[in-house]
Amino acid sequence: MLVIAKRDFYAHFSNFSNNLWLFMFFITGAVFWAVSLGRLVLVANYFQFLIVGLMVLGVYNTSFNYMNVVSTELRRGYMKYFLALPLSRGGLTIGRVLAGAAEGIVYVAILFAFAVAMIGFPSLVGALIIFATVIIISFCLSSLGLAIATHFKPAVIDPMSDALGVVLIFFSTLYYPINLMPQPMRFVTMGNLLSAGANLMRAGFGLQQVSMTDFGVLLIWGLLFGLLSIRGYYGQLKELG
Amino acid sequence: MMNGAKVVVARDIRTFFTNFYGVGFRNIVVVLDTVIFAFILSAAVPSEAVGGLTYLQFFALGSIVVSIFWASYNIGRDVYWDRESGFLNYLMSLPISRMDVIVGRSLGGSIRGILTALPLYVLAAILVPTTIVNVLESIGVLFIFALGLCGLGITSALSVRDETRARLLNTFISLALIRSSTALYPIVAMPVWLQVGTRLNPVTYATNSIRSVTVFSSQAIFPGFDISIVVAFAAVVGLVGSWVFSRMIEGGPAD
Repeated sequence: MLVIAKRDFYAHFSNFSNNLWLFMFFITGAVFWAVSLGRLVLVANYFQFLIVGLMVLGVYNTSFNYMNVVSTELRRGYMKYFLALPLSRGGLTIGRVLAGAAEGIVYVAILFAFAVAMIGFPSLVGALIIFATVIIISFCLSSLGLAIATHFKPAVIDPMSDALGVVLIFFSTLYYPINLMPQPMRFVTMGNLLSAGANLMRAGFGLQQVSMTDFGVLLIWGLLFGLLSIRGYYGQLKELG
Repeated sequence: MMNGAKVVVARDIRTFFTNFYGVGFRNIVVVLDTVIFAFILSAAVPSEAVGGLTYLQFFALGSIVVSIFWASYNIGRDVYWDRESGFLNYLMSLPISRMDVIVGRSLGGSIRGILTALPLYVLAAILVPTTIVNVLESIGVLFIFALGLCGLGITSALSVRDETRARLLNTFISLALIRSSTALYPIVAMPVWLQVGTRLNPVTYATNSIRSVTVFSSQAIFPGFDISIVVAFAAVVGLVGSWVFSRMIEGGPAD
């Protein structure tokens, strides 16, 4: 399990300079976006609100898109090589989920430093809330990505993930507070894992109150996607032999 | 138009829309950006900060420029791929002059940009007061701007050999030009350091002219200065792009 997680992790960060450049572009874009909208939108602490939202977006971009790595491997038959290794199928499966989550966590660590520079240090309890949230949300998103990559045909994966991405991002509190949304939209937003993650991280920074409902939402989705991804990946491994 | 260039333009447009899912989905995302993101924030953005429009109207017009930017600028990526795959050599073996290829690629990129943005024009026409004359004038300005973007895309794509670096350079240029422009937020909301870059950015002038030209008003002032910057940008960058492209065709790949 750890061998696979380590292998995926190193493979992702092997081209460090390119990853770093892309990440710096993301941060630069986020700064331009946040400072301008922060001064434009008449919502209290909107700049800080948006910075945390963009942090969650960074986790989403990394962990959810881990699906592309797995779907490419499935298409190219690379999975057969994995099966030839002296590793258990369960270890392989959980290793993949953990690797996706770990990549998201690394990026969020850099984003966290950026958010601290912009918002200030959270309290010890706040830091723990942020840490726990990042781990759960990275796990949720990487398992969701993996579940899609292993349950659907290659032709359906891209449209499916794009459509899901649109719903997850637009129907969340990443960019705007829930009280600005129309009533029907709020219902979807409350059950959205990105909203729950962003709300908890904002609570960690002291920007709002901690809600146990948000923790509940994250845990339920984490459990569901975790089971689906393990089932899907294990199924693929069994199918290959 | 020269016959050879016509062939190149037709091929560019056809190949672009072959990926119908990619183009269609990109447009859906831009439309959702407008009808969800901008709509929700409209309630919290003062109208005077966005030139008397609502943020929804402001954003809808800006997103047309973003969409054109994406479609036209990416002609550079296509030219890069054609060079790498050897398709350009095939094109050169046809009875088409080299100038036809260069002109055809730029025109093809501009036309596909306009075609991509048409659904967004429909949305803008619903959201802002406009007339058919305003829309046609606006499309004219965008076409000129798109010619410049094609030149910029070709120049940047052919300036580097390595695919990863080309991708990084493309991402950087797109991000820097769009995020430091008035396409998504007004200049008054930006900090002073960002305003400096915004005033040097051609996307700002294209967006400002599109907003002025598309919105119908009896007291509207013709944005002559903004449009002249757009024309100058298109002329200079378009020529540089053509020169880089012709140098590559004549003298092998540009390192």
